[in-house]
Amino acid sequence: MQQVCDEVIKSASDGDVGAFEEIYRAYADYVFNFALRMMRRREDAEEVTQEVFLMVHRSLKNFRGQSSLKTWIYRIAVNTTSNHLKRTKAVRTQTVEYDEEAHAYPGKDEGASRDTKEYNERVIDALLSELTPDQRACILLRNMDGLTYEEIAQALKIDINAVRSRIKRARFKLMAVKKEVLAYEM
Amino acid sequence: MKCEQIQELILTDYIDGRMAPQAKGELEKHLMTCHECLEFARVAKAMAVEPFEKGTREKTPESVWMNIKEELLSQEEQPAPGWLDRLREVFHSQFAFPRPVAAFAGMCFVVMAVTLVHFSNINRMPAQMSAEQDEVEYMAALSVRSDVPTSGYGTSVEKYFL
Ligand SMILES: [Zn+2]
Repeated sequence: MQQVCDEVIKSASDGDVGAFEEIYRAYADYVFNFALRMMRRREDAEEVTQEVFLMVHRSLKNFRGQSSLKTWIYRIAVNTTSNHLKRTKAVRTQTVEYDEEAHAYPGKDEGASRDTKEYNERVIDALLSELTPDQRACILLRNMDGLTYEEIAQALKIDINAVRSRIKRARFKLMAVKKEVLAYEM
Repeated sequence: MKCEQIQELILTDYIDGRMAPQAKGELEKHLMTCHECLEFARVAKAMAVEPFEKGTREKTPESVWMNIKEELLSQEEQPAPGWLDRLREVFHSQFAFPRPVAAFAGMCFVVMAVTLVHFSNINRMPAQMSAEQDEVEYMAALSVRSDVPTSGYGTSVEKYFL
């Protein structure tokens, strides 16, 4: 993840759109992919990414740099995603939709090669569908984005032990996913 | 250490490379003698770590940035808020309660103040005044005497009613 220097943050908070674009370019893909894996629908992920960066722009003046820009943006992303999930869940029972799609398990597709990217993506989807949104967020931040426990604690506003126990439970669940369901060679 | 503790560590600090060298050494010594924990570590890595490591990241569609940029530029065109607007904003963020509540509290206060000024003017209490009326009178007396800013009234009266 490329670093954005303090001057750029300062200019962006003073309204320099070019400087803000630099921040956007550095972090947009992380936010978008996090949102995409949390919600699965592209339109939702695009909407959330847009919302996150407009919020980042509005709040940049209050950014004090005590937390790194990265964890600060993740925190906004986590909050925005979770609000979005609550909203959309009320409208179209998101979890059901998530599970239904995820039940097109990779193992069912006889012809699919197990070495392809597509196959692995479907394994990831199937695994994530076993988790609660909180657990999903933790696993994504840790395993996909490589945040440390300390950074996850900041992003989720929970303490390190809560991070540890959430990760532990999530991974227990993942281990229990049936091999035949994934057709995953181990 | 028991196998249960070992397995909890495997799922968290061991897999995530957070263990101090000595503790890690001890855990790995256990794995050499305990088949169950060794198998646990293998499955944990295969199911809970490796698939994610091979995961790919998509590029954010360019339309997202275009929308954001458009929004930012349209904000720029609007005049910056003047000092009065900012003051109003600060005031609202400091004393934020819903308008109907404020209006109701204000009305109650006026009614009470009028009643009580009237009471203290006759300078004589009805014999069977309840404790409740007593308190109302005390509060009104306090507020009539002091020059509390308007925002203070709302809150104390509101508290009294709730
Ligand atoms: Zn053991």
